[in-house]
Amino acid sequence: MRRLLQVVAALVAAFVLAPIVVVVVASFSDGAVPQFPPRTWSLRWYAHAIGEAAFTDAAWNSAWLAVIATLLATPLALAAAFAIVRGRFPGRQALQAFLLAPLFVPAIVISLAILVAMARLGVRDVGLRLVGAHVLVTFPYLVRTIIASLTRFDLGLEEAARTLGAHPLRGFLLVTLPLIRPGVIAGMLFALIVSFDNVSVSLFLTSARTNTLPLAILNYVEYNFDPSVAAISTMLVAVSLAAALLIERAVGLRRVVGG
Amino acid sequence: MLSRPATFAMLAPVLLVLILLLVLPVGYLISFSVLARGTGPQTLGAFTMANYGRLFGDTYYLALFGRTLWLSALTTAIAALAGTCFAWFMWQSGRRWRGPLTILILSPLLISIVVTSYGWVVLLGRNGAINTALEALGLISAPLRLIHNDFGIVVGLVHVVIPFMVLCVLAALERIEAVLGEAAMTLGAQPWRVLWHVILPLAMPGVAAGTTIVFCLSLSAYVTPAVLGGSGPNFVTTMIYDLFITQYDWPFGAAVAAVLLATALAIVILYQRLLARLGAEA
Amino acid sequence: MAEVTLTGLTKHYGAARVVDAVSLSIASGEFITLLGPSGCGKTTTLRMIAGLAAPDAGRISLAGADVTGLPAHRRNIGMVFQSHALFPHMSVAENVAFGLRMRGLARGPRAERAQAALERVHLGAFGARLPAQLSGGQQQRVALARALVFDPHVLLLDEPFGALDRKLRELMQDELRDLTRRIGITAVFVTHDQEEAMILSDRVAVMNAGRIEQIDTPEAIFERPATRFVADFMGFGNIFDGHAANGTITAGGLCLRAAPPGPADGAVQVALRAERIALAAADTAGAENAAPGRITAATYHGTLTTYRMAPDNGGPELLVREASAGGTRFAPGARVVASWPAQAVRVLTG
Repeated sequence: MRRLLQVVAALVAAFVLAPIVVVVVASFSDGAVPQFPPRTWSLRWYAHAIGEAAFTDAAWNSAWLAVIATLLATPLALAAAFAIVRGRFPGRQALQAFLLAPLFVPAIVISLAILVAMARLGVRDVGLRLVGAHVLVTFPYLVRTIIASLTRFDLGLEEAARTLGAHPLRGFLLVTLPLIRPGVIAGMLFALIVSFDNVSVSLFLTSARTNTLPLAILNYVEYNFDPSVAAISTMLVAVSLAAALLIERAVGLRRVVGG
Repeated sequence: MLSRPATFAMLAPVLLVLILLLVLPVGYLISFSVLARGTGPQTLGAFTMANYGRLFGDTYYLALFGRTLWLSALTTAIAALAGTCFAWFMWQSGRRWRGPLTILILSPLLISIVVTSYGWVVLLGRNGAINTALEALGLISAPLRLIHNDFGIVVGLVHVVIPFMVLCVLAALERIEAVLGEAAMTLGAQPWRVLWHVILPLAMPGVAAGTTIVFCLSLSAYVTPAVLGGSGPNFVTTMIYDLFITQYDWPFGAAVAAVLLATALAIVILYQRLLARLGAEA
Repeated sequence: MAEVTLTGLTKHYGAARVVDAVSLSIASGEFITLLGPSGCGKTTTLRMIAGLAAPDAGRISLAGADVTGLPAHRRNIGMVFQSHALFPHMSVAENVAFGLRMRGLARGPRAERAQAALERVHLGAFGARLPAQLSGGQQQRVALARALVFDPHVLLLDEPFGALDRKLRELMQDELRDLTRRIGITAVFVTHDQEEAMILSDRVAVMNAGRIEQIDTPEAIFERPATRFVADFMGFGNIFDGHAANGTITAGGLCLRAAPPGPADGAVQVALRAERIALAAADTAGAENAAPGRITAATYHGTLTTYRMAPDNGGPELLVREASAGGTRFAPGARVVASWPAQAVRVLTG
């Protein structure tokens, strides 16, 4: 019985890791197509990928997009989480569900909606459209993490600060913020990954000149099947795993992702 | 506690952003669905319900919705089985293994879906690792068709959604006191009976939550059917893309999007109801 | 001069009136305890003094100034919380200096005064540590030092020893009493533990259902409770509804003489302290009150042994508590005579 469970778990783990391991190993192929395992090994597709402007430009776009969206979404999420945890008002539960709504609305619908609405308003700027969409998709994760941090925070500490003569705002800055900081930073890291990796929400919003990295990869593999995509992918895997380790260290991944 | 005005002041910016970026745009998008297609591309005509009539009257579109629901259900069932087993394994494994196992099972979520989809192509494609290996072993004479069909979609979708299933079930399992299982064993129950009579019923809320989330996510997936599915519209989301980008039929595309959104939201609301009921019982 | 004055303080939570027109005047340097069961409104009263809860009606004045509308951070009070509420990300010294920092004191004098405050609670060598590296008792002392370092008008303590074990609790009680007496600070202490209240306080205010039932010295509260609630809370053990006629009180089959005697006629409530009742195997001549009966239950508690006795004349059973002397003296069914002085019988007014 126990043995059976271990076998099933091992199969699930193998299934989860399979496409990732394959990409990483195939990225070291020397030939014109990714091979698993490679017949001859080489780093040349890394050089090719880094030299490919379609990738590097898009990577910069994605990085900027992720940073800006996260920086915009974080203060919004802080304020919202604070109001949800500390405020007493009717419909708190419903409001909390509403704040997480971008998670439940199909990303393709969000992307289309922002496309048509911005077109209606005459906004043609690709960056603006993308930032709007990415604030929406990163926001729920930040709210969730910060709510979790604030809920675990001992209110008595803020009260103690007040009885010691601290203005509530000063108490927040000196006591509350430092103590929820790991949670906020973990949420921000996760938001960066979510934004950087997201495809569906950008689907209708990029242009020929301004692209995000995941969409650039998607476009590239439509016409090319060389291992440079595997090389790019491996770099993405490395970044994601590094961020995941940091988050796990700081507050635990599961508190950020929810479930 | 915050005062009412302070609470409102802190919520106002968020609500404004959500209304401006989500509620109004989605409403605007859906408003297209009750307009006729205009004379030129991207021009719109008069009010009509014809788009919905077409969607619900044509067996082609109904069949596509049916396919999407069926593949999502299949994905959900597989993910529920595999995810529950894995969550159970995680629950029983020691504290030291929790971190690595968490990162492992969440990796599909942390790594861009573009990367993993590409990985499936390299692994399952016509000249992919699996076919090459099977041919080298002499087990097959012609490559198996493992992607660009429904099998490919389901494999890709299960991979994408399994983290959510595991998280939901694990959360439910962690609310169970380990002592319950021990208590059942002291009462003379064999391990599999403990599983059947004690652990599974208590894990059920997590499985239920997981299935609803996973089903909703599967329905809304775009990249997986686009990369791993057969050619042509093979899923509701890819059809929406096709309608907007290739056919410029915004009104009909908006109607399909509206129905997809309604289905997803209905599932989420049912899920919230279910959670509330389970919460009330617990 | 009154350091703290509460006038008609009232607070509702929803429809429930948790503090009901509490008025109290605390003299400078006085140690007052708000004593009562959980939910009696004692903590809410303390939080209103601190400014952490806003009263619905009534006034609060500190050191002669009305502070009713003043937020907590401008009241100059020191407060010790049950959870210690030490800032986990600051060192012990930073915790203690926090109040001085809020008052704009420069870094140098701040550190000096914090160090002096830590030495006052015997933790002079612990300033560089984090709170998590201290024991529960040490944390509580840090909390005390932190609340006292800026010379507040009044020290508020909300069940500060609730989380400590019995031995440590007694030690901390002694330290707190010595410290507050030595620096002569006004203190309001909240607890549900009557023994703790007795040990620490100049005066005790017993609270019930949002009201102060009785306020007096520990001795007076303990020996001469005014109301049924106070007598019960002080552990009298025997409280009877009785009837007074011609200066004698009858309750069931018991005939009670009280000193002071109480009203001459009418319905009365009497309390009889269980420890003041003596049990004997044979009749004891000359007792002010005596009743023969039969033991119905005997329970050995260690230091004490309690007996229940059914009087022969009927009426309520008597609870008797006596110091254990080598074990249980009477088994259930044994015939005994209970006797007690008139002084042990207290006629209640409410």
